Amino acid sequence: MSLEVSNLDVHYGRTHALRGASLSVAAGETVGLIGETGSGKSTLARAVVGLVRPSAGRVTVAGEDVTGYRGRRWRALRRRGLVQYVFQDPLRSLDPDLTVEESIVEPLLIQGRPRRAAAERARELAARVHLDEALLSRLPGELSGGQRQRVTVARALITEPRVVILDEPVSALDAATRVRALEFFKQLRASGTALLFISHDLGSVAGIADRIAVLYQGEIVETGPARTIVNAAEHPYTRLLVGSAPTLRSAAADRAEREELRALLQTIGGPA
Amino acid sequence: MALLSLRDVRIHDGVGRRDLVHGVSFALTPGKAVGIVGESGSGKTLTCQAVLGILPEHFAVSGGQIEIEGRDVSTLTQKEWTAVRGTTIGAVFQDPASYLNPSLKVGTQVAEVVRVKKGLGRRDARQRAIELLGAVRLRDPERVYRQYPHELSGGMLQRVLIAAAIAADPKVLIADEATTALDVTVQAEILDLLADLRERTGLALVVVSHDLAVVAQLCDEVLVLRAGETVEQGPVERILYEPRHEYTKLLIAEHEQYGLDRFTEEKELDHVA
Repeated sequence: MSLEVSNLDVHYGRTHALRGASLSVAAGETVGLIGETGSGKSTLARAVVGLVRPSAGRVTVAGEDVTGYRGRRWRALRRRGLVQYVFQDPLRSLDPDLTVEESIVEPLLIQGRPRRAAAERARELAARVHLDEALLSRLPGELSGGQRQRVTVARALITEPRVVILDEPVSALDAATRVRALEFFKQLRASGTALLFISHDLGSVAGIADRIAVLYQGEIVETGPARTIVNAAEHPYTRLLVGSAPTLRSAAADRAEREELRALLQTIGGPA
Repeated sequence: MALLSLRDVRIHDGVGRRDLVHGVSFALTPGKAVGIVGESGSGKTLTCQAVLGILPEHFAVSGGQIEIEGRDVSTLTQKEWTAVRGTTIGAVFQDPASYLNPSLKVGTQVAEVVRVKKGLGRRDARQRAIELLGAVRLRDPERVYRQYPHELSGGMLQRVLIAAAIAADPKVLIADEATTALDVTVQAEILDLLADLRERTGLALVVVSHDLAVVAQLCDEVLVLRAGETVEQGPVERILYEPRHEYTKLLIAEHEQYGLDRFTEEKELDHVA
C-alpha cells in the first residue's frame, strides 16, 4: 500500500475530531475522501502529512511507519517528498514573488540537487501537466486558475511522490478547466501514483475515484467502489449525501426520500 | 400577465465602456421557475441586480426593457423601487452572513422587515417573524429568533435570509448562487425549501447558479449565459436532452463523465432492463 491509515484518532483538546479512521490507497489507485464541514476530512489529511499529531493509530507511507516521526525525521521525510499535499487555493499556496519555474524546482533545491538538473526537470514536469513552457518565467499572478493549479501539481510531482493528496482539486475551476484537470488526474493515476482526493462534494469526484470513503462526524461510515457508494450505499448519511448531490436527469433521491433520511439521521444522532 | 419580463436587456459598464450583458430575455409567470446558468463573469448577477434596481455605480441598463407586473422599471422613482423590492420581488444571495447585522438578534432583523414592509406593530411583527422562521423550517423558531448571526450555521443563516426575503409576501424570489457556499446536504435542504415554497405559495423563482444540475432540479426554463451572451435558452428537458450549443454540451458532458449521473443513469437502465 502506498498509504495506509489505521485506527487513527485525533483530539483537539476535548473534541474528538477523528475516531478510529482507517483508509488505504494503493499505487495507481484514486480514493475519494468525502466529508462535509466539520467531518474531519482536513484533520485526516493533515495527520497524514504530519501537520496534526494523532492521539492513537498509525500512518504508513510506502510501508514506512511515520506515525512517531517528529522534528528532524519529519523534516527529512518531507524533504524526500514521498507524500505531497496540493492545497485548495493555488494562488495562495504559490509564492507570488517566485516565477513558475522557481516554484516548481524549489522542492528539488531543498533536497540539494543542482539547479541546472532541476531546471531540466521543471521543463519535463511542465510538459507532463500540459503547462506551456513559455509560462515558466511568469509569476503566479499572471496565470489563470487552471494554469496555477497545474503549477502546484507539477511542484508536487517533482519529488516523485508515492502519494499525492489533493484538497478540493476542482471546486474552484470553471467547467471547461475542470474537465481538463480531471482528465489529467486520470493520466496521473495511470502512471502509478496513489491519489487521495479530498472533497465536500461527492459529485465532483465520483467519476474519477476508484473507491470512495465517506466521513461523517469524525468517523469513516462507509468505504466502497464509487459505483456501490452511489447506487447501493448502506449508511443513511451516505444515502443522504448521494441523494443531495444535484444530478441532471436521473435524481438519486427525491424530496420525500431526503426528508426520511434526514429524520433517520436525527434519531441516530445527527449533527446538532 | 408575466410577473417579470425581460426583453433583450443589455447592461453597460460606464468605466470599461462596453456592454457586459448583450441581450437577455425571459418571462416569468406565477409559480414558474426560470434558471440562469453561467460562470463568474457571465453576466448572471448583473442581470439580477438590474431586475432589482441595484446595479452598482457606473453600470446601467443600456438597452431592452424590464417589466415588473407590466410596469417598465425605467420609470420607477426611488420610492417606488423601495416599494417593489420585498413586496413584489425578494432576493437571496451567496453569503448570507454579510447581509445580517452581527450585533442584532436575527429575529429582530426579520421582524424589522415585517414592520417596515407590512406596517405591523412591534408585537405582531415579532409573532410574524417567528412564523416566518418556522415557515423556512428552522427547528425551534422561538429560540432562533433570539440568536445572533454567529450562533447559526451557514444553512440556518440562509434560511433566515429567505424568511426575510419572503416576509412581505413577494411574488418572485431571486436566488443568486444562494446555495453555492453550503455543504451539499445543506444545499439540498435549501433547494427543497425553495421547491416547497413554490408549491405551497405559488412563489415564482429565478434561480441563478454556476451548476446546471442545481438549476435543472428546480426550473422549468433555462438560460445558459456565457460572457454576457445567452448561448442557449429553452425548456429544461430540451436543454438536457437536446443541447444545441457546445458550451451547454460541455456542461452536460462533465456531469455525465465525472458526476453522479454517470452511475445514476446506469441504475435507471438496470431498472428498465
